[in-house]
Amino acid sequence: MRLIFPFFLLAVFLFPATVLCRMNSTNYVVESDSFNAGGGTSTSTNYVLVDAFGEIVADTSTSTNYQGPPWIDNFLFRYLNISTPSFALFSQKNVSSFAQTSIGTISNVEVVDDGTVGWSVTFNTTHFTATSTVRKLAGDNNTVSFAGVYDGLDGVLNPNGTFVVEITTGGTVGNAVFSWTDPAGNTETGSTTASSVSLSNGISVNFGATTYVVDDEWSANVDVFPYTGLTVTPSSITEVSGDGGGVSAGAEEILTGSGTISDSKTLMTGAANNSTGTYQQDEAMELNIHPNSLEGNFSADATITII
Amino acid sequence: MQLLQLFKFFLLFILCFFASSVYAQTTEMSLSVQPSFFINIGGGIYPFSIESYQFGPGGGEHTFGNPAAVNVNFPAGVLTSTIDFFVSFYRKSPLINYRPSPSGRAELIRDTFYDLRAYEGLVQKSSFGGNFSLRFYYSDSDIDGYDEEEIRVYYWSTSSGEWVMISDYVLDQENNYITVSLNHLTLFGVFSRRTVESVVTPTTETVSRGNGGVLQEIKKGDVNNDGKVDIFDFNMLMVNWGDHSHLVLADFNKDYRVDIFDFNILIRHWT
Repeated sequence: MRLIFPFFLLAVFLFPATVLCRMNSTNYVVESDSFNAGGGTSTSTNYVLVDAFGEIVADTSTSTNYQGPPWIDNFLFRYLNISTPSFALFSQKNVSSFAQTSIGTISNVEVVDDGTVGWSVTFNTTHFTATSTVRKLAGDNNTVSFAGVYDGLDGVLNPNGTFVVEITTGGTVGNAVFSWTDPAGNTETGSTTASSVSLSNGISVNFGATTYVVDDEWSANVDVFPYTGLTVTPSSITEVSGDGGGVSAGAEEILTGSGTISDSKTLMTGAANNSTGTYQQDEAMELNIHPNSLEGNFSADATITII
Repeated sequence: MQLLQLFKFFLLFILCFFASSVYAQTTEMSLSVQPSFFINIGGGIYPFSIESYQFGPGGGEHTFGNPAAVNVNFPAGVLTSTIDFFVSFYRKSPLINYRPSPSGRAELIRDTFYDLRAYEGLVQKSSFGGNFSLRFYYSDSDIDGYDEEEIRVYYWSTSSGEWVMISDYVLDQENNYITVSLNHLTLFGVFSRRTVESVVTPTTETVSRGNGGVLQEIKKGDVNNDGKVDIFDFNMLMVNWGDHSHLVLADFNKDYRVDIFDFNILIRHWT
């Protein structure tokens, strides 16, 4: 018995992992069918269990007193999958003294569901931001660079935002001291140089090995196209297969929010009991490009979630 | 039996724990903002128009401008991928005026330069593996005063800093266009010669100068507008000698340069 019990525990903890390894992908979880071990027919005065758990709770619960727990239907008896393209390219623009609009599409957002609970697909994104390459303002050292992804939280600035780093005490990396200014104009003094020093808004400055001189100075411009200027228009839904009577597209909306990531916006909704199947949708987007923007590549990360 | 059911639900619980019902995907969204094609100089916007068109790997043709100005035709096999093609239309202006006109054909048809650019993704592509054709259109009114037989297409050579005539051309005077074949993109202009009748220089011109913009009749060569062409006008011509900027004083023949031809006009009208 003492030998059997550890094996029992091992089996209990390894078995689910084994099942999950076999049934998971990065996009979905399969939670039914093959999970029949220990099945057979079970009866009581209140319910009947036949073989697979999924079938029993979802479909064949036969009791006047017993209903499958809703949370089980949520978790175990769905094949729920969301797939999106990894990249969406917006139309190229040129710096202009006028406001412009860039358009893009996230194509073929696909939902696959064989459950009955219903689902909702939502969209949020970061700001579209860009950071210029470093510009040497004073000194002889080309050993400083800026890294990171600007979070855009300073908003649209006129002129465009700039990070400025200036050596205030000369010396080698680790000894030299610098001051820096963020896009909002806030200045911080007394920072010690290092191979990488975090500044603010997601940006850090990297000092290469050399001897720095007082008044050495570098800058990098940053700019943002806020998500509050992004209009998302979900297309009508293409029903590849299923019983999509309860599947509906979200409305055209301008994103809202105040943080690094926008509030979530609904792209499509599948109602309970008639949203199983495979559904596709394109998300058309229009982004406001403010006048006299920085030139360069602006990027943002959109996250599409199904719950 | 009860123990078996409990065991099953225990396993279900473990599965539930691992199998979160929230699934998410991330899509990187990106756009490129290129340097401005438009430059504001003294209230004027340059270029005055930009058009774009996307050519697929199979090539094809597209006409830019309304009325038709430039037709671009990529034969099959020249393009290996999709390109975004831009045509910027420039009037003769301070922005490009530093480029001296080609000798012998100083006049620019339509008073327009064409800046042709192609982008493969975000990368500018200025040359191609094979020849494509450019067809420049003109109307009868565009060539009024020009020698139609002398119409030629030139490209701006950035290496030599001069206009270079494209010798491989077909001039269709009946249909009013000239077609050239080449394998690279840059700035293009269509030049010709003035006909002899059109180059007679009037002795006076009507311009807006002084007096709050009231139109006055002034004498050619009278730079300081004192009613005489004299040493003071000559001095001003010397001061502006070689100046290529727009609306420069003493540019009597309006070729955007102060040179020996302006000197000739001044001497001709000397009082």
